[in-house]
Amino acid sequence: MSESEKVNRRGFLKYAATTVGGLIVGGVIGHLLAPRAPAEISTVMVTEVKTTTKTVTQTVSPTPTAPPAAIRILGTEGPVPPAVEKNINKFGEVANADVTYESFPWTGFHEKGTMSLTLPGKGMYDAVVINCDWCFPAWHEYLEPLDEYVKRDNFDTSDFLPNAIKHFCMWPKGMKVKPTGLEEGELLGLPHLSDAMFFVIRKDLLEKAGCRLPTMDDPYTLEEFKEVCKKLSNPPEIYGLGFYHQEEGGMPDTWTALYFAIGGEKARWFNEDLTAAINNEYAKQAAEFLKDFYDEGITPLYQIEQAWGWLEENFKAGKLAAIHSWGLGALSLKDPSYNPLWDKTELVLPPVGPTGTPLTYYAGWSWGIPKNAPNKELAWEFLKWITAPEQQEAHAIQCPPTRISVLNKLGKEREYYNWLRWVAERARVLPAIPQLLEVNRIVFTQLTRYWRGEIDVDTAFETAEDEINSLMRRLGYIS
Amino acid sequence: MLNVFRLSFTAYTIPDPLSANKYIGFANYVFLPYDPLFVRSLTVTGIFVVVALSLELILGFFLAYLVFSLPKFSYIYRVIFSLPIMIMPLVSAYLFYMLFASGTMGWINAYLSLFFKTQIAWLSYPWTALFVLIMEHVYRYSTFAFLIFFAGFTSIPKDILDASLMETVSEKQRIRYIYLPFLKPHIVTAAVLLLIDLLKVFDSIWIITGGGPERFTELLNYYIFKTSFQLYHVGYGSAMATLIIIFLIIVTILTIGRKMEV
Repeated sequence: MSESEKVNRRGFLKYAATTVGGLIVGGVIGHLLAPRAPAEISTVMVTEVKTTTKTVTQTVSPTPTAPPAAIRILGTEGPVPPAVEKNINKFGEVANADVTYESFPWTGFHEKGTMSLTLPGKGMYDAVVINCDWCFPAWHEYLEPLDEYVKRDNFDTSDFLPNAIKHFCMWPKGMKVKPTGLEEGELLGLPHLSDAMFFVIRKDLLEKAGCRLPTMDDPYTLEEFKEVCKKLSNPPEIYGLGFYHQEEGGMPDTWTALYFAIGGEKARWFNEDLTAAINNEYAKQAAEFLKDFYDEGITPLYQIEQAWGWLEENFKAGKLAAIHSWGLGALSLKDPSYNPLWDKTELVLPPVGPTGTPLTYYAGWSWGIPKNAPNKELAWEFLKWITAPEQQEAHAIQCPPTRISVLNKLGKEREYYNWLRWVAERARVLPAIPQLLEVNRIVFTQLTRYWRGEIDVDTAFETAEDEINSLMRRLGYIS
Repeated sequence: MLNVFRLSFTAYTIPDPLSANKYIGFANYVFLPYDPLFVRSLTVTGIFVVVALSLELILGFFLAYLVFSLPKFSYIYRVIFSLPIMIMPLVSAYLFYMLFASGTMGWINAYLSLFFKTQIAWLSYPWTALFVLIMEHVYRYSTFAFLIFFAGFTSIPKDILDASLMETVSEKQRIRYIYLPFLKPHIVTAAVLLLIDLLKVFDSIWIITGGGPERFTELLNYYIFKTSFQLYHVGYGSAMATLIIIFLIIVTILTIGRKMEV
């Protein structure tokens, strides 16, 4: 080896050793000095932080007045619209508390919540809003059990919709998955918002086509519903039906609802032993039913690339005659300030399948207290306050309630609340599994390939079932 | 980073807090080649990196050569060509989403509908969606390569350039025997820095394709994120992240760490 080669080699080794050594030392120092806080994800930002401070009137006293207690709440825009935020701020006045409410953007909320709840030591939030399907199954180990609080304060939970309590707030101890979604267990939250998927339709086009509006006593059948959408369709100017078919973060909502509608109680995602159960005739019939919508031009195929919000945007722009949407979003389309076609828009009941199950499923949000919450007692007071009948009634128009008494009262003025109660009692719910989003994406990927004509329906569901079982095996749910 | 390394040897899943201390040796690493999604993600990431890197280096070199050859107003060209790198990644990603989306939102499809009565669902098909991601990255980072190469061009000794002008040296020969050899360290530096950024791509996937269609555009970094925060398999995600870090360290040491002679 020449002298210059020896020099180069020494230099190279010196450089390599310095790099690796520097990384290790830097890593150790960083680990020791790093504050106990989650890393920020660069793609999301906190949109706003609101603080309400109660002004304390100083009375004459030899000892200083204790500062107000503080509570920090994490929410996101869907389940915490402006009307609910108003109530959150009011809690500060009522409880003489400093309330800090953080509204985190929808995309990224799940990750933000996960990182906050899993912090060791004292956490950042006292109360968190929790989605029943894609948050609760993953977070249940990190939530404070509330049975003792309920018992101690004699708090009555019987006014809440039973399926809301079971699906949004209960988890059996030691169980990793709730195959039907309605298994009872420890109470880990209080139900906040009820929702189900409804259809929003252009009633002017419906009248023009000579079609009727469905009612609770006489809903559409699935075939009648398809005919109606076909009559409203005039592609490419206007499509008869739009629904969410996005793979990212998505639930194959419409397909799932159809699967439930066609199969009823037999439409399962998992068997008792937690192996996949979706490779069946009902799942295939649901897929074939929706394929007709794509093949006949009733639904545009490009909807698979669309993100949240595109349904409402295209409906408002007159590109879609009907959409399958969550009630929360659907209600806003009746608002004149939001939808220029508001007076031509009607919210309609979902059609009913051969088993009597409606083409929808029931879901919602709850409020929970993280186990690492700094102020659990105040958080419990907040939960009782925000889910009380008065508050649920006050924010009902933007946030459908979970209390039976409130639904009954509001149902006298607006049919929608009666529908919601009707759906809550009849509709299916999703299985509760922490990796539900992944399971959905497996199904969605195969559905996309089938709807695009790349594979047949049997291959789609065989592949989906195999992949789900492989996933369940990898995660240790099955052997 | 050390914690990520430690977790890569555990069976840590978020719904099971106690699993953070359940050590399973190299099981997470051993599983990687048997994970079809990881293998596909690695393959597609490889294609993404090779195509995007090549385009960025070629385009960056071409732009730098152009600006270097046109000394008049070169300052203006430098500013214009530097603008894309100054745009925030999220903004650029959203811009490309607006360009290529279908339906009411896509600008390109709006013009296609107007003049040709047709639309192309760019983001609905795997390869076209990957093409859009590549274009977005090339748009932003070819200017980064341009800045590095332009610095290289200006560092070429003037006497050598003057000598080549006096000799009957063709432009092709000048590029091949003078510019490229002198720019070799800059090419390597640009390639490594761009490679690091290409492997870190996340924002554009999140905004433009969401990892779809059919999970085709779930490049490695995105797949790691999905594995850790949606599959909650933090241990497995940590193993993948550790491998990427090791790969980048090796590449950096082997390229920039070596003495390069012109």
